[in-house]
Amino acid sequence: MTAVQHSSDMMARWLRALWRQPVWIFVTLVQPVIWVLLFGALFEKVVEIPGFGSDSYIEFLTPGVVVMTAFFSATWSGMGMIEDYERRILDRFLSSPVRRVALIAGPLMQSGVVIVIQSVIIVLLALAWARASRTGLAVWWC
Amino acid sequence: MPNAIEATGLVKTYPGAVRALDGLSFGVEEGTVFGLVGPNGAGKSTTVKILTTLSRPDEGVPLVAGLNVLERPDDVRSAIGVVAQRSGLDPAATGRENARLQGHVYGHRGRELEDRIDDLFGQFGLADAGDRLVRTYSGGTQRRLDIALALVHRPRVLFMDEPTTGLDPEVRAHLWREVSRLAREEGLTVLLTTHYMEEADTLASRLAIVDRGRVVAQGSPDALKGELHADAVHVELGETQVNGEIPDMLGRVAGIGELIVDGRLLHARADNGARAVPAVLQALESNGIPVAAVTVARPSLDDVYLRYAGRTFGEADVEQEDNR
Repeated sequence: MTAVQHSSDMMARWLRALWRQPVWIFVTLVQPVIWVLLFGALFEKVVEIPGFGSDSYIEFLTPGVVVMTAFFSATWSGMGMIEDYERRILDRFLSSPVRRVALIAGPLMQSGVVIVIQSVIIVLLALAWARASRTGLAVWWC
Repeated sequence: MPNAIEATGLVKTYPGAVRALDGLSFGVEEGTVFGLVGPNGAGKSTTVKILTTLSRPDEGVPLVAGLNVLERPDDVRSAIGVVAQRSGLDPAATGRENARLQGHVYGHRGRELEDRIDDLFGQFGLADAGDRLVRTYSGGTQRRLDIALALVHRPRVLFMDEPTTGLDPEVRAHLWREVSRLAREEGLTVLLTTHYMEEADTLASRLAIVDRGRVVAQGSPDALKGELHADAVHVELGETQVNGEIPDMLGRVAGIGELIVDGRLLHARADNGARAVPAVLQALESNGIPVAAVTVARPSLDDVYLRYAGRTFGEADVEQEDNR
Protein backbone atom coordinates (compact mmCIF):
# COMPACT_ATOMS: atom_id res chain seq x y z
CA MET A 1 0.00 0.00 0.00
CA THR A 2 2.88 2.33 0.82
CA ALA A 3 4.15 1.89 -2.71
CA VAL A 4 0.81 3.02 -4.17
CA GLN A 5 0.63 5.93 -1.76
CA HIS A 6 4.19 7.06 -2.52
CA SER A 7 3.61 6.69 -6.27
CA SER A 8 0.56 8.90 -6.18
CA ASP A 9 2.43 11.44 -4.00
CA MET A 10 5.17 11.54 -6.63
CA MET A 11 2.66 11.77 -9.47
CA ALA A 12 0.96 14.67 -7.69
CA ARG A 13 4.31 16.44 -7.51
CA TRP A 14 4.89 16.06 -11.26
CA LEU A 15 1.35 17.01 -12.19
CA ARG A 16 1.60 20.14 -10.07
CA ALA A 17 4.80 21.12 -11.86
CA LEU A 18 3.00 20.57 -15.17
CA TRP A 19 -0.01 22.55 -13.99
CA ARG A 20 2.29 25.50 -13.29
CA GLN A 21 3.89 25.24 -16.73
CA PRO A 22 1.19 23.77 -18.97
CA VAL A 23 3.10 25.03 -22.01
CA TRP A 24 4.87 21.64 -22.05
CA ILE A 25 1.66 19.91 -23.03
CA PHE A 26 1.57 22.08 -26.15
CA VAL A 27 5.27 21.97 -27.03
CA THR A 28 5.00 18.26 -27.80
CA LEU A 29 1.71 18.92 -29.60
CA VAL A 30 3.20 21.23 -32.25
CA GLN A 31 4.42 18.39 -34.45
CA PRO A 32 1.29 16.20 -34.41
CA VAL A 33 -0.90 19.22 -35.05
CA ILE A 34 1.17 20.10 -38.10
CA TRP A 35 0.91 16.50 -39.27
CA VAL A 36 -2.83 16.35 -38.91
CA LEU A 37 -3.42 19.68 -40.60
CA LEU A 38 -0.74 19.48 -43.28
CA PHE A 39 -0.84 15.82 -44.27
CA GLY A 40 -4.56 15.67 -43.64
CA ALA A 41 -5.02 18.26 -46.37
CA LEU A 42 -2.16 17.13 -48.60
CA PHE A 43 -3.11 13.47 -48.90
CA GLU A 44 -6.82 13.93 -48.82
CA LYS A 45 -7.08 12.46 -52.31
CA VAL A 46 -5.09 9.32 -51.40
CA VAL A 47 -8.35 7.62 -50.46
CA GLU A 48 -9.35 7.63 -54.12
CA ILE A 49 -6.59 5.13 -54.98
CA PRO A 50 -8.30 1.76 -55.39
CA GLY A 51 -7.88 -0.60 -52.44
CA PHE A 52 -6.92 2.11 -49.90
CA GLY A 53 -9.28 0.61 -47.35
CA SER A 54 -10.67 3.80 -45.84
CA ASP A 55 -12.77 6.51 -47.30
CA SER A 56 -11.40 9.34 -45.16
CA TYR A 57 -7.68 10.03 -45.00
CA ILE A 58 -7.95 11.96 -41.72
CA GLU A 59 -9.66 8.93 -40.17
CA PHE A 60 -6.75 6.82 -41.39
CA LEU A 61 -4.07 9.24 -40.21
CA THR A 62 -5.27 10.29 -36.75
CA PRO A 63 -4.77 7.03 -34.80
CA GLY A 64 -1.19 6.89 -36.10
CA VAL A 65 -0.53 10.45 -35.03
CA VAL A 66 -1.96 9.75 -31.58
CA VAL A 67 0.38 6.79 -31.14
CA MET A 68 3.39 8.74 -32.39
CA THR A 69 2.60 11.57 -29.98
CA ALA A 70 2.34 9.12 -27.12
CA PHE A 71 5.79 7.79 -28.00
CA PHE A 72 7.36 11.22 -28.28
CA SER A 73 5.81 12.40 -25.04
CA ALA A 74 6.98 9.29 -23.27
CA THR A 75 10.57 9.89 -24.33
CA TRP A 76 10.41 13.18 -22.42
CA SER A 77 9.27 11.58 -19.19
CA GLY A 78 12.81 10.48 -18.29
CA MET A 79 14.01 14.08 -18.50
CA GLY A 80 12.41 14.97 -15.19
CA MET A 81 14.36 12.24 -13.48
CA ILE A 82 17.64 13.43 -14.99
CA GLU A 83 16.87 16.90 -13.66
CA ASP A 84 16.13 15.43 -10.24
CA TYR A 85 19.44 13.63 -10.35
CA GLU A 86 21.35 16.77 -11.27
CA ARG A 87 19.60 18.87 -8.66
CA ARG A 88 20.36 16.21 -6.01
CA ILE A 89 16.63 15.79 -5.38
CA LEU A 90 17.05 12.12 -6.19
CA ASP A 91 19.71 11.77 -3.48
CA ARG A 92 17.32 13.28 -0.97
CA PHE A 93 14.65 10.74 -1.87
CA LEU A 94 17.11 7.84 -1.99
CA SER A 95 18.23 8.52 1.57
CA SER A 96 14.57 8.48 2.67
CA PRO A 97 12.38 5.38 3.02
CA VAL A 98 10.39 6.22 -0.13
CA ARG A 99 9.48 3.07 -2.08
CA ARG A 100 11.89 2.94 -5.00
CA VAL A 101 9.17 1.98 -7.45
CA ALA A 102 7.42 5.30 -6.71
CA LEU A 103 10.35 7.25 -8.15
CA ILE A 104 9.71 5.56 -11.51
CA ALA A 105 5.96 5.13 -11.29
CA GLY A 106 5.28 8.76 -10.31
CA PRO A 107 6.65 10.40 -13.47
CA LEU A 108 5.30 7.49 -15.53
CA MET A 109 1.78 8.08 -14.31
CA GLN A 110 2.14 11.81 -14.95
CA SER A 111 3.23 10.97 -18.50
CA GLY A 112 0.11 8.84 -18.86
CA VAL A 113 -2.10 11.76 -17.86
CA VAL A 114 -0.29 14.09 -20.28
CA ILE A 115 -0.66 11.63 -23.14
CA VAL A 116 -4.39 11.21 -22.52
CA ILE A 117 -4.82 14.99 -22.62
CA GLN A 118 -2.79 15.24 -25.82
CA SER A 119 -4.66 12.38 -27.48
CA VAL A 120 -7.98 14.03 -26.72
CA ILE A 121 -6.74 17.32 -28.20
CA ILE A 122 -5.55 15.59 -31.39
CA VAL A 123 -8.75 13.61 -31.83
CA LEU A 124 -10.89 16.73 -31.32
CA LEU A 125 -8.72 18.63 -33.78
CA ALA A 126 -8.99 15.86 -36.38
CA LEU A 127 -12.77 15.75 -35.95
CA ALA A 128 -12.98 19.48 -36.46
CA TRP A 129 -10.71 19.25 -39.49
CA ALA A 130 -12.72 16.45 -41.05
CA ARG A 131 -15.92 18.36 -40.52
CA ALA A 132 -14.41 21.53 -41.95
CA SER A 133 -13.12 19.78 -45.07
CA ARG A 134 -16.52 18.18 -45.66
CA THR A 135 -18.26 21.51 -45.51
CA GLY A 136 -15.65 23.03 -47.78
CA LEU A 137 -14.33 25.35 -45.12
CA ALA A 138 -10.86 23.92 -45.51
CA VAL A 139 -10.60 25.27 -49.01
CA TRP A 140 -11.43 28.66 -47.70
CA TRP A 141 -8.81 28.31 -44.90
CA CYS A 142 -6.01 27.29 -47.20
CA MET B 1 25.50 6.10 26.66
CA PRO B 2 25.41 4.02 23.49
CA ASN B 3 26.88 5.35 20.29
CA ALA B 4 24.40 6.68 17.75
CA ILE B 5 26.92 6.30 14.95
CA GLU B 6 29.69 3.76 14.85
CA ALA B 7 31.92 3.44 11.80
CA THR B 8 34.52 0.73 11.86
CA GLY B 9 37.29 0.33 9.30
CA LEU B 10 35.48 1.86 6.35
CA VAL B 11 37.26 1.40 3.03
CA LYS B 12 35.98 2.79 -0.25
CA THR B 13 37.85 2.76 -3.54
CA TYR B 14 36.51 4.58 -6.56
CA PRO B 15 37.24 3.50 -10.13
CA GLY B 16 40.70 4.63 -11.17
CA ALA B 17 42.12 3.37 -7.86
CA VAL B 18 41.23 6.51 -5.94
CA ARG B 19 41.15 5.37 -2.32
CA ALA B 20 38.58 7.73 -0.82
CA LEU B 21 38.41 5.95 2.52
CA ASP B 22 41.30 4.02 3.93
CA GLY B 23 40.14 2.31 7.12
CA LEU B 24 38.17 5.16 8.64
CA SER B 25 36.74 4.59 12.12
CA PHE B 26 34.96 6.79 14.62
CA GLY B 27 32.03 6.76 17.04
CA VAL B 28 29.46 9.41 17.92
CA GLU B 29 27.77 9.43 21.31
CA GLU B 30 24.00 9.86 21.34
CA GLY B 31 22.76 13.43 21.71
CA THR B 32 26.03 15.11 20.79
CA VAL B 33 27.32 17.11 17.84
CA PHE B 34 30.28 15.43 16.20
CA GLY B 35 32.46 17.22 13.68
CA LEU B 36 34.21 15.47 10.82
CA VAL B 37 36.76 17.96 9.55
CA GLY B 38 39.37 17.89 6.83
CA PRO B 39 40.22 19.37 3.43
CA ASN B 40 38.16 18.80 0.31
CA GLY B 41 38.53 15.24 -0.88
CA ALA B 42 39.59 13.92 2.52
CA GLY B 43 36.69 11.46 2.48
CA LYS B 44 34.09 13.35 4.52
CA SER B 45 31.34 13.25 1.93
CA THR B 46 32.03 9.62 1.07
CA THR B 47 31.64 8.77 4.76
CA VAL B 48 28.31 10.59 4.92
CA LYS B 49 27.12 8.85 1.75
CA ILE B 50 27.89 5.44 3.24
CA LEU B 51 26.21 6.24 6.55
CA THR B 52 23.11 7.57 4.78
CA THR B 53 22.74 4.45 2.60
CA LEU B 54 23.67 6.21 -0.66
CA SER B 55 26.89 4.29 -1.15
CA ARG B 56 28.32 0.95 -0.03
CA PRO B 57 31.78 0.58 1.49
CA ASP B 58 34.18 -2.02 0.07
CA GLU B 59 35.04 -3.02 3.62
CA GLY B 60 34.04 -2.09 7.14
CA VAL B 61 30.88 -1.87 9.22
CA PRO B 62 28.73 1.28 9.44
CA LEU B 63 26.20 1.37 12.29
CA VAL B 64 23.62 4.13 12.64
CA ALA B 65 21.09 4.28 15.50
CA GLY B 66 22.26 0.80 16.48
CA LEU B 67 21.40 -0.62 13.04
CA ASN B 68 23.75 -2.01 10.44
CA VAL B 69 23.40 0.29 7.44
CA LEU B 70 24.29 -2.49 5.01
CA GLU B 71 21.75 -4.98 6.37
CA ARG B 72 18.78 -2.77 7.27
CA PRO B 73 19.01 0.30 5.04
CA ASP B 74 15.26 1.03 5.18
CA ASP B 75 15.17 1.15 8.99
CA VAL B 76 18.23 3.40 8.96
CA ARG B 77 16.56 5.71 6.40
CA SER B 78 13.56 6.16 8.70
CA ALA B 79 15.79 7.07 11.62
CA ILE B 80 17.99 9.67 9.93
CA GLY B 81 17.69 13.11 8.41
CA VAL B 82 20.13 14.26 5.76
CA VAL B 83 21.25 17.75 4.78
CA ALA B 84 23.34 17.14 1.69
CA GLN B 85 26.30 19.21 0.62
CA ARG B 86 24.34 20.56 -2.30
CA SER B 87 20.78 21.64 -1.77
CA GLY B 88 18.24 19.09 -3.04
CA LEU B 89 15.03 21.09 -3.34
CA ASP B 90 12.35 21.01 -6.01
CA PRO B 91 12.51 24.54 -7.48
CA ALA B 92 9.11 24.20 -9.16
CA ALA B 93 7.33 23.67 -5.83
CA THR B 94 6.84 25.97 -2.85
CA GLY B 95 8.71 25.47 0.40
CA ARG B 96 5.61 24.04 2.02
CA GLU B 97 4.97 21.63 -0.87
CA ASN B 98 8.55 20.41 -0.61
CA ALA B 99 8.13 19.84 3.12
CA ARG B 100 4.74 18.18 2.67
CA LEU B 101 6.06 15.65 0.16
CA GLN B 102 9.01 14.96 2.45
CA GLY B 103 6.56 14.28 5.28
CA HIS B 104 4.42 11.98 3.11
CA VAL B 105 7.47 9.94 2.22
CA TYR B 106 8.03 9.24 5.92
CA GLY B 107 4.37 8.36 6.43
CA HIS B 108 3.19 11.61 8.03
CA ARG B 109 0.00 13.21 6.78
CA GLY B 110 -2.80 15.61 7.54
CA ARG B 111 -3.11 18.02 10.45
CA GLU B 112 -0.20 16.51 12.37
CA LEU B 113 2.15 17.07 9.42
CA GLU B 114 0.92 20.63 8.78
CA ASP B 115 1.50 21.51 12.44
CA ARG B 116 4.99 20.07 12.31
CA ILE B 117 5.76 22.09 9.17
CA ASP B 118 4.38 25.29 10.75
CA ASP B 119 6.57 24.60 13.75
CA LEU B 120 9.75 24.08 11.72
CA PHE B 121 9.08 27.01 9.40
CA GLY B 122 8.65 29.20 12.48
CA GLN B 123 11.95 27.98 13.93
CA PHE B 124 13.89 28.51 10.73
CA GLY B 125 12.32 31.82 9.75
CA LEU B 126 10.51 30.35 6.74
CA ALA B 127 6.97 31.32 7.69
CA ASP B 128 6.83 34.09 5.08
CA ALA B 129 8.77 32.30 2.36
CA GLY B 130 6.89 29.01 2.77
CA ASP B 131 4.29 29.67 0.11
CA ARG B 132 6.67 31.02 -2.52
CA LEU B 133 8.26 28.85 -5.20
CA VAL B 134 11.69 27.59 -4.14
CA ARG B 135 13.27 28.96 -7.34
CA THR B 136 12.75 32.47 -5.92
CA TYR B 137 14.67 31.68 -2.70
CA SER B 138 18.09 33.06 -1.81
CA GLY B 139 20.91 30.62 -1.04
CA GLY B 140 20.50 31.10 2.70
CA THR B 141 16.75 30.52 2.60
CA GLN B 142 17.22 27.37 0.53
CA ARG B 143 19.69 26.07 3.08
CA ARG B 144 17.29 26.72 5.93
CA LEU B 145 14.58 24.84 4.03
CA ASP B 146 17.03 21.96 3.43
CA ILE B 147 17.47 21.65 7.17
CA ALA B 148 13.75 21.99 7.90
CA LEU B 149 13.06 19.17 5.39
CA ALA B 150 15.62 16.93 7.06
CA LEU B 151 13.82 17.42 10.39
CA VAL B 152 10.18 16.98 9.30
CA HIS B 153 9.97 13.37 10.50
CA ARG B 154 11.84 13.99 13.79
CA PRO B 155 14.93 11.93 12.99
CA ARG B 156 17.14 10.57 15.75
CA VAL B 157 20.35 11.23 13.84
CA LEU B 158 20.98 14.21 11.59
CA PHE B 159 23.71 14.28 8.97
CA MET B 160 24.89 17.65 7.72
CA ASP B 161 27.45 17.68 4.94
CA GLU B 162 29.09 21.12 4.86
CA PRO B 163 25.84 22.85 5.75
CA THR B 164 27.18 26.41 5.84
CA THR B 165 29.49 26.47 2.82
CA GLY B 166 28.73 29.56 0.76
CA LEU B 167 26.49 31.23 3.34
CA ASP B 168 26.96 34.74 4.66
CA PRO B 169 28.20 35.07 8.27
CA GLU B 170 24.84 36.12 9.65
CA VAL B 171 22.97 33.13 8.25
CA ARG B 172 25.81 30.88 9.35
CA ALA B 173 25.65 32.12 12.94
CA HIS B 174 21.89 31.57 12.93
CA LEU B 175 22.27 27.98 11.73
CA TRP B 176 24.91 27.31 14.35
CA ARG B 177 22.54 28.46 17.06
CA GLU B 178 19.74 26.25 15.70
CA VAL B 179 21.93 23.16 15.43
CA SER B 180 23.27 23.53 18.98
CA ARG B 181 19.75 24.01 20.24
CA LEU B 182 18.51 20.85 18.50
CA ALA B 183 21.22 18.75 20.08
CA ARG B 184 20.74 20.33 23.49
CA GLU B 185 16.95 20.41 23.71
CA GLU B 186 15.78 17.59 21.50
CA GLY B 187 18.55 15.10 22.12
CA LEU B 188 19.34 14.91 18.42
CA THR B 189 22.65 13.36 17.41
CA VAL B 190 24.34 15.45 14.73
CA LEU B 191 27.17 14.45 12.44
CA LEU B 192 28.56 17.56 10.84
CA THR B 193 31.22 17.70 8.18
CA THR B 194 32.96 20.95 7.53
CA HIS B 195 36.22 22.42 6.40
CA TYR B 196 35.75 25.44 8.60
CA MET B 197 37.69 24.70 11.78
CA GLU B 198 35.88 27.57 13.42
CA GLU B 199 32.57 25.83 12.79
CA ALA B 200 33.73 22.56 14.32
CA ASP B 201 35.14 24.49 17.29
CA THR B 202 31.82 26.26 17.94
CA LEU B 203 29.45 23.37 17.39
CA ALA B 204 31.10 20.04 17.98
CA SER B 205 31.68 18.53 21.38
CA ARG B 206 33.98 15.98 19.76
CA LEU B 207 35.62 15.91 16.39
CA ALA B 208 37.76 13.79 14.14
CA ILE B 209 40.27 15.25 11.73
CA VAL B 210 40.22 13.31 8.48
CA ASP B 211 42.93 13.34 5.88
CA ARG B 212 43.35 11.02 2.90
CA GLY B 213 40.56 8.73 4.07
CA ARG B 214 41.81 8.21 7.61
CA VAL B 215 41.16 9.75 11.00
CA VAL B 216 44.42 11.45 11.94
CA ALA B 217 43.28 12.89 15.27
CA GLN B 218 40.20 12.58 17.43
CA GLY B 219 38.93 14.19 20.61
CA SER B 220 37.20 17.25 22.01
CA PRO B 221 38.33 20.55 20.46
CA ASP B 222 39.89 21.63 23.75
CA ALA B 223 41.73 18.36 24.26
CA LEU B 224 43.11 18.50 20.72
CA LYS B 225 44.30 22.05 21.22
CA GLY B 226 45.71 21.20 24.63
CA GLU B 227 47.82 18.41 23.19
CA LEU B 228 49.83 20.93 21.24
CA HIS B 229 51.31 22.42 24.43
CA ALA B 230 52.34 25.47 22.52
CA ASP B 231 51.49 28.81 21.06
CA ALA B 232 51.75 29.42 17.37
CA VAL B 233 54.08 32.15 16.15
CA HIS B 234 53.44 33.23 12.59
CA VAL B 235 55.99 35.49 10.93
CA GLU B 236 55.45 37.08 7.56
CA LEU B 237 58.72 38.07 5.92
CA GLY B 238 59.15 41.17 3.81
CA GLU B 239 60.32 41.09 0.19
CA THR B 240 63.36 38.92 0.38
CA GLN B 241 65.08 35.89 -1.01
CA VAL B 242 63.99 33.21 1.42
CA ASN B 243 66.77 30.70 1.80
CA GLY B 244 67.36 27.45 3.59
CA GLU B 245 69.30 29.11 6.39
CA ILE B 246 66.19 30.26 8.20
CA PRO B 247 65.47 26.98 10.01
CA ASP B 248 69.13 26.87 11.16
CA MET B 249 69.01 30.46 12.20
CA LEU B 250 65.88 30.11 14.28
CA GLY B 251 66.64 26.65 15.53
CA ARG B 252 69.21 28.25 17.80
CA VAL B 253 66.66 30.62 19.32
CA ALA B 254 65.59 29.42 22.74
CA GLY B 255 61.99 28.25 23.17
CA ILE B 256 61.24 27.60 19.48
CA GLY B 257 59.93 24.13 18.76
CA GLU B 258 58.76 22.93 15.37
CA LEU B 259 59.22 25.25 12.41
CA ILE B 260 57.54 25.18 9.02
CA VAL B 261 58.63 27.50 6.20
CA ASP B 262 55.87 28.12 3.68
CA GLY B 263 56.99 30.63 1.06
CA ARG B 264 57.33 33.91 2.87
CA LEU B 265 55.47 32.62 5.91
CA LEU B 266 57.09 31.02 8.92
CA HIS B 267 54.98 28.94 11.28
CA ALA B 268 56.69 28.11 14.53
CA ARG B 269 55.65 26.59 17.82
CA ALA B 270 56.86 28.09 21.06
CA ASP B 271 56.14 27.16 24.65
CA ASN B 272 55.60 30.80 25.32
CA GLY B 273 54.98 32.73 22.14
CA ALA B 274 55.17 36.26 23.53
CA ARG B 275 58.53 35.62 25.09
CA ALA B 276 59.98 34.03 21.96
CA VAL B 277 59.06 36.88 19.60
CA PRO B 278 61.87 39.36 20.47
CA ALA B 279 64.51 36.68 20.03
CA VAL B 280 63.02 35.56 16.72
CA LEU B 281 62.89 39.13 15.42
CA GLN B 282 66.43 39.80 16.51
CA ALA B 283 67.70 36.66 14.83
CA LEU B 284 65.99 37.57 11.55
CA GLU B 285 66.97 41.26 11.56
CA SER B 286 70.57 40.57 12.41
CA ASN B 287 70.72 38.39 9.32
CA GLY B 288 69.22 41.15 7.20
CA ILE B 289 65.81 39.52 6.69
CA PRO B 290 63.03 42.12 6.92
CA VAL B 291 59.86 41.19 8.78
CA ALA B 292 56.45 42.42 7.61
CA ALA B 293 54.21 41.06 10.34
CA VAL B 294 54.29 38.89 13.44
CA THR B 295 51.34 37.21 15.12
CA VAL B 296 51.21 35.10 18.23
CA ALA B 297 48.18 32.91 18.68
CA ARG B 298 46.94 30.46 21.24
CA PRO B 299 46.56 27.10 19.52
CA SER B 300 43.57 26.98 17.18
CA LEU B 301 42.06 23.96 15.50
CA ASP B 302 43.87 25.05 12.34
CA ASP B 303 47.09 24.47 14.23
CA VAL B 304 45.84 21.09 15.32
CA TYR B 305 45.17 20.23 11.71
CA LEU B 306 48.54 21.59 10.63
CA ARG B 307 50.18 19.46 13.25
CA TYR B 308 48.46 16.21 12.31
CA ALA B 309 48.35 16.50 8.57
CA GLY B 310 51.59 18.45 8.24
CA ARG B 311 50.20 20.94 5.74
CA THR B 312 47.64 23.68 5.70
CA PHE B 313 44.12 23.34 4.35
CA GLY B 314 44.89 25.44 1.30
CA GLU B 315 47.77 23.20 0.31
CA ALA B 316 45.75 20.04 0.78
CA ASP B 317 43.04 21.46 -1.44
CA VAL B 318 45.53 22.39 -4.13
CA GLU B 319 46.99 18.92 -3.97
CA GLN B 320 43.54 17.46 -4.47
CA GLU B 321 43.07 19.50 -7.59
CA ASP B 322 46.46 18.42 -8.90
CA ASN B 323 45.45 14.82 -8.51
CA ARG B 324 42.45 15.29 -10.71
